[in-house]
Amino acid sequence: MDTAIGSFKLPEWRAHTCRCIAVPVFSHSTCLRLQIFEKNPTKIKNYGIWLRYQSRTGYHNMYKEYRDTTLNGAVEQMYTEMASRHRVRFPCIQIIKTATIPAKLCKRDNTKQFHNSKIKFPLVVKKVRPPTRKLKTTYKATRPNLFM
Amino acid sequence: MPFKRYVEIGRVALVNYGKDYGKLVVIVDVVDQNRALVDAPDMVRGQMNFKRLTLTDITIDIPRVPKKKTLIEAMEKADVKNKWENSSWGRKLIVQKRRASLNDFDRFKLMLAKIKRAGVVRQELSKLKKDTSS
Repeated sequence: MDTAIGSFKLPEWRAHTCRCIAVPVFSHSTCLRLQIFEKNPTKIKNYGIWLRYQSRTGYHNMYKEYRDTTLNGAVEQMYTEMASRHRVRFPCIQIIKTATIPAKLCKRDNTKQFHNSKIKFPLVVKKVRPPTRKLKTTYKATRPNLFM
Repeated sequence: MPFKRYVEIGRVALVNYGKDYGKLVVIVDVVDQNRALVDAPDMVRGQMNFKRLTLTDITIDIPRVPKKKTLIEAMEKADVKNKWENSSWGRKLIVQKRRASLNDFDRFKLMLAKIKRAGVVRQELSKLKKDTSS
Protein backbone atom coordinates (compact mmCIF):
# COMPACT_ATOMS: atom_id res chain seq x y z
CA MET A 1 0.00 0.00 0.00
CA ASP A 2 2.25 2.78 -1.23
CA THR A 3 1.39 6.44 -1.15
CA ALA A 4 1.68 7.03 -4.88
CA ILE A 5 -1.05 6.68 -7.44
CA GLY A 6 0.74 6.29 -10.73
CA SER A 7 3.23 9.11 -10.85
CA PHE A 8 1.36 11.33 -8.37
CA LYS A 9 3.11 11.37 -5.01
CA LEU A 10 1.09 12.16 -1.91
CA PRO A 11 2.46 14.32 0.88
CA GLU A 12 3.22 12.28 3.96
CA TRP A 13 0.40 13.56 6.15
CA ARG A 14 -2.07 12.49 3.52
CA ALA A 15 -0.70 8.99 3.62
CA HIS A 16 -1.72 8.71 7.22
CA THR A 17 -5.33 9.52 6.44
CA CYS A 18 -5.94 7.57 3.28
CA ARG A 19 -5.50 4.08 2.13
CA CYS A 20 -5.71 2.39 -1.24
CA ILE A 21 -8.59 0.09 -1.84
CA ALA A 22 -8.66 -2.25 -4.78
CA VAL A 23 -11.85 -2.12 -6.80
CA PRO A 24 -12.19 -4.59 -9.65
CA VAL A 25 -13.29 -2.69 -12.73
CA PHE A 26 -14.04 -5.75 -14.87
CA SER A 27 -13.92 -9.27 -13.52
CA HIS A 28 -10.68 -10.28 -15.26
CA SER A 29 -8.89 -6.95 -15.51
CA THR A 30 -6.37 -5.36 -13.20
CA CYS A 31 -7.82 -3.53 -10.26
CA LEU A 32 -8.50 0.17 -10.18
CA ARG A 33 -7.00 1.56 -7.01
CA LEU A 34 -8.91 4.31 -5.31
CA GLN A 35 -7.90 6.35 -2.33
CA ILE A 36 -10.49 7.01 0.33
CA PHE A 37 -9.87 10.35 1.98
CA GLU A 38 -11.48 10.84 5.33
CA LYS A 39 -13.57 13.98 5.50
CA ASN A 40 -13.05 14.48 9.22
CA PRO A 41 -10.03 12.54 10.48
CA THR A 42 -9.98 14.32 13.82
CA LYS A 43 -13.48 13.23 14.82
CA ILE A 44 -14.09 9.86 16.46
CA LYS A 45 -16.87 7.91 14.82
CA ASN A 46 -18.60 4.61 15.38
CA TYR A 47 -18.35 2.51 12.26
CA GLY A 48 -20.73 -0.32 11.56
CA ILE A 49 -19.45 -2.82 9.03
CA TRP A 50 -21.66 -5.43 7.44
CA LEU A 51 -19.66 -8.23 5.95
CA ARG A 52 -19.97 -11.62 4.37
CA TYR A 53 -17.17 -14.06 4.90
CA GLN A 54 -16.29 -17.56 3.96
CA SER A 55 -15.41 -19.90 6.76
CA ARG A 56 -14.23 -23.47 6.44
CA THR A 57 -17.82 -24.66 6.43
CA GLY A 58 -19.75 -22.02 4.50
CA TYR A 59 -20.64 -18.39 4.11
CA HIS A 60 -21.83 -16.21 6.95
CA ASN A 61 -22.99 -12.65 7.40
CA MET A 62 -21.77 -10.47 10.18
CA TYR A 63 -22.25 -7.03 11.59
CA LYS A 64 -19.34 -5.52 13.50
CA GLU A 65 -18.80 -2.18 15.15
CA TYR A 66 -15.59 -0.26 15.55
CA ARG A 67 -14.64 3.06 17.02
CA ASP A 68 -12.09 4.92 14.95
CA THR A 69 -11.33 8.27 13.40
CA THR A 70 -11.23 7.09 9.81
CA LEU A 71 -13.09 4.53 7.73
CA ASN A 72 -9.80 3.06 6.60
CA GLY A 73 -8.77 2.55 10.19
CA ALA A 74 -12.04 0.85 11.04
CA VAL A 75 -11.81 -1.47 8.06
CA GLU A 76 -8.23 -2.32 8.97
CA GLN A 77 -9.40 -3.16 12.48
CA MET A 78 -12.10 -5.34 11.00
CA TYR A 79 -9.71 -7.32 8.85
CA THR A 80 -7.28 -7.90 11.68
CA GLU A 81 -10.07 -8.88 14.06
CA MET A 82 -11.60 -11.32 11.58
CA ALA A 83 -8.20 -12.85 11.02
CA SER A 84 -7.56 -13.26 14.73
CA ARG A 85 -11.03 -14.27 15.92
CA HIS A 86 -12.23 -16.37 13.00
CA ARG A 87 -9.05 -17.13 11.05
CA VAL A 88 -10.62 -15.53 8.01
CA ARG A 89 -8.15 -13.97 5.63
CA PHE A 90 -8.48 -10.98 3.37
CA PRO A 91 -9.66 -12.70 0.18
CA CYS A 92 -12.49 -14.47 2.00
CA ILE A 93 -14.11 -11.30 3.32
CA GLN A 94 -16.57 -9.24 1.35
CA ILE A 95 -17.65 -5.92 2.78
CA ILE A 96 -21.32 -5.45 2.08
CA LYS A 97 -21.75 -2.05 3.64
CA THR A 98 -20.03 0.37 5.95
CA ALA A 99 -21.72 3.21 7.75
CA THR A 100 -21.09 5.77 10.45
CA ILE A 101 -23.47 4.93 13.26
CA PRO A 102 -24.72 7.57 15.65
CA ALA A 103 -24.09 6.68 19.27
CA LYS A 104 -27.74 5.96 20.06
CA LEU A 105 -27.97 3.23 17.43
CA CYS A 106 -24.84 1.30 18.32
CA LYS A 107 -25.53 -2.28 19.18
CA ARG A 108 -22.35 -3.56 20.71
CA ASP A 109 -21.60 -2.98 24.38
CA ASN A 110 -17.93 -2.80 23.54
CA THR A 111 -18.43 0.44 21.60
CA LYS A 112 -21.22 1.72 23.82
CA GLN A 113 -18.97 1.72 26.88
CA PHE A 114 -16.97 4.59 25.34
CA HIS A 115 -20.06 6.74 24.84
CA ASN A 116 -19.46 8.53 28.08
CA SER A 117 -18.66 12.21 28.15
CA LYS A 118 -17.02 11.85 31.55
CA ILE A 119 -15.03 8.78 30.73
CA LYS A 120 -12.32 8.04 33.23
CA PHE A 121 -10.18 4.98 33.76
CA PRO A 122 -6.68 4.28 35.00
CA LEU A 123 -3.94 2.75 32.94
CA VAL A 124 -3.06 -0.36 34.83
CA VAL A 125 0.32 -1.35 33.51
CA LYS A 126 3.07 0.92 32.27
CA LYS A 127 4.87 -0.26 29.16
CA VAL A 128 8.55 0.40 29.77
CA ARG A 129 10.42 0.79 26.54
CA PRO A 130 13.28 2.91 25.20
CA PRO A 131 12.17 5.97 23.24
CA THR A 132 13.74 4.78 20.02
CA ARG A 133 14.43 1.32 18.60
CA LYS A 134 18.09 2.24 18.49
CA LEU A 135 18.36 2.30 22.29
CA LYS A 136 16.93 -1.19 22.59
CA THR A 137 19.23 -3.72 24.33
CA THR A 138 18.75 -7.38 25.11
CA TYR A 139 19.76 -7.09 28.75
CA LYS A 140 18.96 -4.39 31.26
CA ALA A 141 20.67 -3.62 34.55
CA THR A 142 17.46 -3.37 36.57
CA ARG A 143 13.95 -4.80 36.51
CA PRO A 144 11.37 -2.41 35.15
CA ASN A 145 8.92 -0.52 37.34
CA LEU A 146 5.51 -1.32 35.85
CA PHE A 147 3.42 0.88 38.14
CA MET A 148 1.98 3.84 36.26
CA MET B 1 -2.23 1.00 45.89
CA PRO B 2 -5.11 2.92 44.31
CA PHE B 3 -4.55 4.71 41.07
CA LYS B 4 -3.97 8.44 41.11
CA ARG B 5 -3.61 9.28 37.43
CA TYR B 6 -6.58 8.51 35.24
CA VAL B 7 -7.15 8.70 31.53
CA GLU B 8 -9.79 11.40 31.34
CA ILE B 9 -10.67 14.30 29.14
CA GLY B 10 -8.26 17.06 30.01
CA ARG B 11 -5.46 14.85 31.33
CA VAL B 12 -2.06 16.12 30.25
CA ALA B 13 0.29 13.39 29.10
CA LEU B 14 3.87 13.18 27.96
CA VAL B 15 4.61 11.40 24.71
CA ASN B 16 7.29 8.80 25.36
CA TYR B 17 7.78 7.23 21.93
CA GLY B 18 7.61 8.16 18.31
CA LYS B 19 7.66 11.28 16.25
CA ASP B 20 6.25 13.56 18.96
CA TYR B 21 8.59 12.29 21.68
CA GLY B 22 8.89 14.65 24.64
CA LYS B 23 5.78 16.69 23.86
CA LEU B 24 3.09 17.49 26.36
CA VAL B 25 -0.31 16.64 24.91
CA VAL B 26 -3.83 16.79 26.24
CA ILE B 27 -6.20 13.82 26.06
CA VAL B 28 -9.20 15.26 24.36
CA ASP B 29 -11.30 12.12 23.82
CA VAL B 30 -10.99 8.38 24.09
CA VAL B 31 -11.27 6.34 20.89
CA ASP B 32 -11.29 2.95 22.49
CA GLN B 33 -9.48 0.87 25.06
CA ASN B 34 -6.07 1.46 23.56
CA ARG B 35 -6.19 4.83 21.87
CA ALA B 36 -6.93 8.41 22.75
CA LEU B 37 -7.61 11.43 20.66
CA VAL B 38 -4.83 13.75 21.60
CA ASP B 39 -4.22 17.44 20.99
CA ALA B 40 -1.54 20.03 21.65
CA PRO B 41 -1.28 23.70 20.67
CA ASP B 42 1.37 22.96 18.04
CA MET B 43 0.14 19.75 16.48
CA VAL B 44 -2.76 18.49 14.41
CA ARG B 45 -5.25 16.65 16.58
CA GLY B 46 -4.70 12.93 16.13
CA GLN B 47 -5.05 9.59 17.78
CA MET B 48 -2.33 8.05 19.84
CA ASN B 49 -1.95 4.71 21.53
CA PHE B 50 -1.82 4.81 25.34
CA LYS B 51 1.42 2.89 25.12
CA ARG B 52 2.99 6.04 23.74
CA LEU B 53 1.69 8.24 26.53
CA THR B 54 2.79 8.69 30.11
CA LEU B 55 0.11 10.38 32.19
CA THR B 56 1.12 13.35 34.30
CA ASP B 57 -0.52 14.82 37.37
CA ILE B 58 -1.81 17.83 35.49
CA THR B 59 -5.39 18.04 34.26
CA ILE B 60 -7.16 20.90 32.59
CA ASP B 61 -10.83 21.71 32.43
CA ILE B 62 -12.09 21.24 28.89
CA PRO B 63 -15.28 19.97 27.30
CA ARG B 64 -15.04 16.82 25.20
CA VAL B 65 -13.13 17.56 21.96
CA PRO B 66 -12.75 21.32 22.32
CA LYS B 67 -11.89 23.71 19.54
CA LYS B 68 -8.20 24.54 19.28
CA LYS B 69 -8.81 28.05 20.62
CA THR B 70 -10.70 26.72 23.65
CA LEU B 71 -7.94 24.22 24.29
CA ILE B 72 -5.22 26.87 24.20
CA GLU B 73 -7.22 29.14 26.53
CA ALA B 74 -7.81 26.29 28.97
CA MET B 75 -4.12 25.44 28.94
CA GLU B 76 -3.24 29.04 29.69
CA LYS B 77 -5.78 29.17 32.49
CA ALA B 78 -4.48 26.01 34.09
CA ASP B 79 -0.92 27.26 33.54
CA VAL B 80 0.19 23.90 32.25
CA LYS B 81 3.57 25.08 31.03
CA ASN B 82 4.65 26.59 34.34
CA LYS B 83 3.20 23.77 36.42
CA TRP B 84 5.15 21.32 34.29
CA GLU B 85 8.41 23.21 34.35
CA ASN B 86 8.23 23.65 38.13
CA SER B 87 7.34 20.05 38.84
CA SER B 88 10.24 17.78 39.76
CA TRP B 89 9.60 15.60 36.70
CA GLY B 90 9.56 18.58 34.37
CA ARG B 91 12.68 20.07 35.94
CA LYS B 92 14.54 16.78 35.52
CA LEU B 93 13.70 16.67 31.83
CA ILE B 94 14.89 20.24 31.35
CA VAL B 95 18.16 19.43 33.09
CA GLN B 96 18.58 16.31 30.95
CA LYS B 97 18.10 18.36 27.83
CA ARG B 98 20.57 20.96 29.02
CA ARG B 99 23.17 18.33 29.89
CA ALA B 100 22.77 16.70 26.48
CA SER B 101 23.46 19.96 24.70
CA LEU B 102 26.66 20.90 26.58
CA ASN B 103 29.85 21.49 24.67
CA ASP B 104 33.29 20.51 25.92
CA PHE B 105 33.96 23.85 27.64
CA ASP B 106 30.58 23.62 29.42
CA ARG B 107 31.45 20.15 30.62
CA PHE B 108 34.77 21.46 31.92
CA LYS B 109 32.96 24.21 33.82
CA LEU B 110 30.53 21.61 35.14
CA MET B 111 33.43 19.49 36.36
CA LEU B 112 34.95 22.45 38.22
CA ALA B 113 31.57 23.31 39.77
CA LYS B 114 31.12 19.72 40.93
CA ILE B 115 34.59 19.67 42.49
CA LYS B 116 33.89 22.96 44.25
CA ARG B 117 30.57 21.69 45.62
CA ALA B 118 32.15 18.44 46.77
CA GLY B 119 34.85 20.44 48.55
CA VAL B 120 32.32 22.55 50.44
CA VAL B 121 30.34 19.45 51.43
CA ARG B 122 33.48 17.71 52.64
CA GLN B 123 34.48 20.71 54.74
CA GLU B 124 31.08 20.78 56.44
CA LEU B 125 31.27 17.02 57.00
CA SER B 126 34.70 17.26 58.59
CA LYS B 127 33.45 20.05 60.84
CA LEU B 128 30.53 17.88 61.98
CA LYS B 129 32.88 14.94 62.55
CA LYS B 130 35.13 17.10 64.70
CA ASP B 131 32.15 18.29 66.74
CA THR B 132 30.91 14.79 67.44
CA SER B 133 34.34 13.38 68.21
CA SER B 134 35.33 16.25 70.50
